[in-house]
Amino acid sequence: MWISVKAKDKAKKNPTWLVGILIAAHLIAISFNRAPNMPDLWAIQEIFITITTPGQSLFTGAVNWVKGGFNHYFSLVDARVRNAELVSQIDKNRVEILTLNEELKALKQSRDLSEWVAPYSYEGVEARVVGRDINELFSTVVINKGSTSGIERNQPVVAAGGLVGRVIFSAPYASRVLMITDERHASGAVLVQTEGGRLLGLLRGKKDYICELQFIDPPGQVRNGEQVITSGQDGIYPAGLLLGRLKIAGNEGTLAPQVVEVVPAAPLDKLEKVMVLKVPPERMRDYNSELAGEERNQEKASEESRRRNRR
Amino acid sequence: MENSSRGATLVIIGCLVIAVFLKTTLEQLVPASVGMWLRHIDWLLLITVYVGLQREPVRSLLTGTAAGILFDAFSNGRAIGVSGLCYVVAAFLTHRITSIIVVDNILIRFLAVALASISNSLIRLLFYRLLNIDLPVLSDGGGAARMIVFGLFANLIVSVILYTLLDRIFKKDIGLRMRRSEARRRRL
Repeated sequence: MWISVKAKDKAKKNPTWLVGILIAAHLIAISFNRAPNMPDLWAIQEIFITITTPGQSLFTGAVNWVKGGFNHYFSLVDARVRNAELVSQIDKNRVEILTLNEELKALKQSRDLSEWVAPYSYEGVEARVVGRDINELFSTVVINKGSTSGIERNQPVVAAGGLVGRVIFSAPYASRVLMITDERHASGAVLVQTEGGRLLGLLRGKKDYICELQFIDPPGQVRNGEQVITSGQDGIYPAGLLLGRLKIAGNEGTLAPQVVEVVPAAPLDKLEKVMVLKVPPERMRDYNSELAGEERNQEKASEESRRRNRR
Repeated sequence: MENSSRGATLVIIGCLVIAVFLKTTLEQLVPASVGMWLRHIDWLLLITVYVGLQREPVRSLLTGTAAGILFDAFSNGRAIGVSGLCYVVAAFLTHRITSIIVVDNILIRFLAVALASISNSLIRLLFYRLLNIDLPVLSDGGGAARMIVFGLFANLIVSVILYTLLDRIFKKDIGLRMRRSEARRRRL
């Protein structure tokens, strides 16, 4: 096998030396995590993700099909009791209904996604979520489309309802998406207030499908359910994508703390289909340079007004 | 004998692959309320401990290493090697338990799973902190304690069902290993 028979016998009698070697090897591997210029993408991850995605895709599809089958089975029990003669006919129809329902569901999801994405007019790649992060501390998902479909790192990912996150790793036929609820995720956000006001903040992932919004200035009064959208200032997400809705204890015009909870608008706990937005990098660059220009102009204007006041 | 060993190795590899599939895909196929609990089950750790309970130290240590490699391959954490270390320590702890106590019953299994689960969580949290991985769970003592306790209970509960199933798969091997282990002890 991996080690010689003699070494194996020795290890069987006293495995401490083998434990020592393995622990030392792992500690060396761990030390690479702190090494400067450590590559972002590990070849081993790319290989594994490429090999396993088709299997995961198949498994997810099969389980969804069986789940659908069970639901339909139970809904047809009454009909079968009432009319036993129609059982064979129902069985035949059931398979057909299942197929049609799956098609309908897929079409509905596609329609919802395209309707939601349409106002932003970005080209998108539809993908299916096939797996989640094996580590419960991290919130990432694996989708079944990769660089061959034009998916690149840092492209925003949306689902019907809102923003899911961004691509952090792209293999040829699969990609990994960092969700907005991941504790390592942060993005520029704007709270759109019912009274028309806008408050700038930073949205960070918390845990269990919840995010938190940290305001830059003291927020004053906020209302439950107010929308949080991307500000576009982080250079990754275009402005205006819906992130989630505010969740606070009081309903009516509560004085909010500096940090409030936000419930993501996208159904992150039951993601099936997502869309990767191909936002052209130059567009984000233009937007950022516009923002920087505006800030410079504002600074100049305020400096001039200060000078005038001194005179 | 060699064929039986190869067969067992293949079965372990199969179990590890299924464990990865369960961990990465099961959560999204069940309702969110159930998924939140399933997240705490460490299938790879359970397989490693089970192999350790078979009184084959080399195989269990190598299974731990393989489980760690699989974990790193399917996670985006920038903590390569930490999981492998956790599983190797879990395998070693299980080996120590089985070398001290010859009897194989549910209590010994519970003890092995509990020790492995706690050491797994503690080592993981320690190394994440050493590697400066920014996780709120690490700065909050309550969060870390919750993670350890939930993981412990989830693993203990699932181990009862999983090990019954694995006993059926590894039936032939268990008797053989018990006899070998006893013979080795007498020789020493």
